[in-house]
Amino acid sequence: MKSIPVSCSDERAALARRGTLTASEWQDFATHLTTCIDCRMAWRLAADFDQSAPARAGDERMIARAVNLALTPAARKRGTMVRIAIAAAVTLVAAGVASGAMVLRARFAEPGGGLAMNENAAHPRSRGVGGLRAASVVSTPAPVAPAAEFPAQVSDDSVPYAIPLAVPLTGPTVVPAPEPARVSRPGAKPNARLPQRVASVEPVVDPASPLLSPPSQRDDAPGLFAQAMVERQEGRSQLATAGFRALQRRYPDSQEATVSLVSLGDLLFGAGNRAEALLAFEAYLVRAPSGTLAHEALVGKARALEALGRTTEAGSTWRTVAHQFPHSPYAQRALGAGIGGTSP
Amino acid sequence: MGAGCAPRVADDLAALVVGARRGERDATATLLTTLGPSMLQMVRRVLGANHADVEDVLQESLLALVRALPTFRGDCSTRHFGCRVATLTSLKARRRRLGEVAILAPADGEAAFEAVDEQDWALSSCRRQVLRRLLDELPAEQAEALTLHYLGGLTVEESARAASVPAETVRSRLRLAKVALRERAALDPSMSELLEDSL
Repeated sequence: MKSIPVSCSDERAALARRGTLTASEWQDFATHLTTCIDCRMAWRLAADFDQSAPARAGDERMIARAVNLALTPAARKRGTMVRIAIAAAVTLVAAGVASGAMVLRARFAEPGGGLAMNENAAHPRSRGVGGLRAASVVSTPAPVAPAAEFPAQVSDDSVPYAIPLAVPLTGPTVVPAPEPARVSRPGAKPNARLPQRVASVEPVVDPASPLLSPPSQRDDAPGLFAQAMVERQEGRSQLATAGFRALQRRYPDSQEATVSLVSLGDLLFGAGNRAEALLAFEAYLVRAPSGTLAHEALVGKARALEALGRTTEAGSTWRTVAHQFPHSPYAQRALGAGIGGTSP
Repeated sequence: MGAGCAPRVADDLAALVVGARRGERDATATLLTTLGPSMLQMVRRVLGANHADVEDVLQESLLALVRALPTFRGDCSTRHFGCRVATLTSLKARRRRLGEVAILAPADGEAAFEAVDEQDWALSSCRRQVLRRLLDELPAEQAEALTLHYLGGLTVEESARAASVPAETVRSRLRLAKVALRERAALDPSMSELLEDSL
């Protein structure tokens, strides 16, 4: 087996992928690539994966569905129940073994007992070992749930978590709205390992927590946002539109109001109100030009402009999509078609 | 904490993590939504962009992240922590379904957009499949190191922080994985030919 040369630097390759090498460092790295087949292979494979799996239209909805599921108590309870069931089963087995050992010991102690005729079985050391085994089984605590599936980091000090809290968040934070359960693919085999998807979203908060009511029943910005999203997912577009407008009217500076502009734009566009949809998308881009939903907002803006017949501006917006989100499927198609004002 | 790990890192998602650990629904939702795109990308890279189980594995990953948060000490950034959760969940899903048809299907067949040269795209897809098959066979630790580094783009130091192991351990795992990759390439005529053509 040929070993990898020590001069090969994985660190340098990673920095090169991020474009953070200096010109001279890059020159050295490029020279090294021409002579080292391992690094060349690694570099090419890394480039292959960098180009793969771009973001797609609809990813946001897929993520929202997954988030809702992760927040659903039923999903988490199911995992907990599995762990409890495993622990209970082990406890029962241990109790059974212990009981059996006790019965055997009782039989050994009986004069003329069948097993006592066996010298080895009647030997005190044998009984002692049997008893010790039984005791060890009984005293063995039920195993804790298997936690090695994810990178558990077991705390070894008294401070469980010491990330500084004063670091401000950058960009808009998104409160995903409850969405309906994903419809299973036709013919798809049900995944028994996954908790069943649910259509309703239950509150995760502890009953003792101050957050007694789920967001959809609260009158603050997250509550109004959740209410409007519920209306939207249930097909009541007008109520959803009114909800988003109320949110923006009552909490104009909230992050939820900013995020809701994209949903509002989608609703308005779907209802044929392209001009107002355009305003909503543009408002989002003004408030959060690099926000989480900037891609969706830009695409919505481009489509609204097209629908309004403003093809030159639409083409410019599509080019912006391609420039800012080069991995977007819209961008790839737009560039491939060389559009000037045509929707990809 | 693994030996050799650097001190905790600054993290722009720290406040959300603290809120999520307290059971605040909004903080958890925002944290998951923020990490979702990068975790989805990782799942797609490990499984294949068009794999039928992408959404299921993403859901598993987010659930695993929620369950792992109480044990997360902040030795690495929350984003890298999420990246590792997605990596482990995806690798586990691949191995779990090795015998099934789905994993052997041409899962990497992202639509070849007009701007992309079809031959390049096919070669690139072939190389990705070779690496994915190798991930199924490598020891779990090597597969994890290879995935975080090649597919996730994490540096050795970042991978070490995320895995709570010394950086030298990650380097060692990467070295072993690269040797295995080269052996695989030598056995695969198409792969070795690709390597000859590289650069």
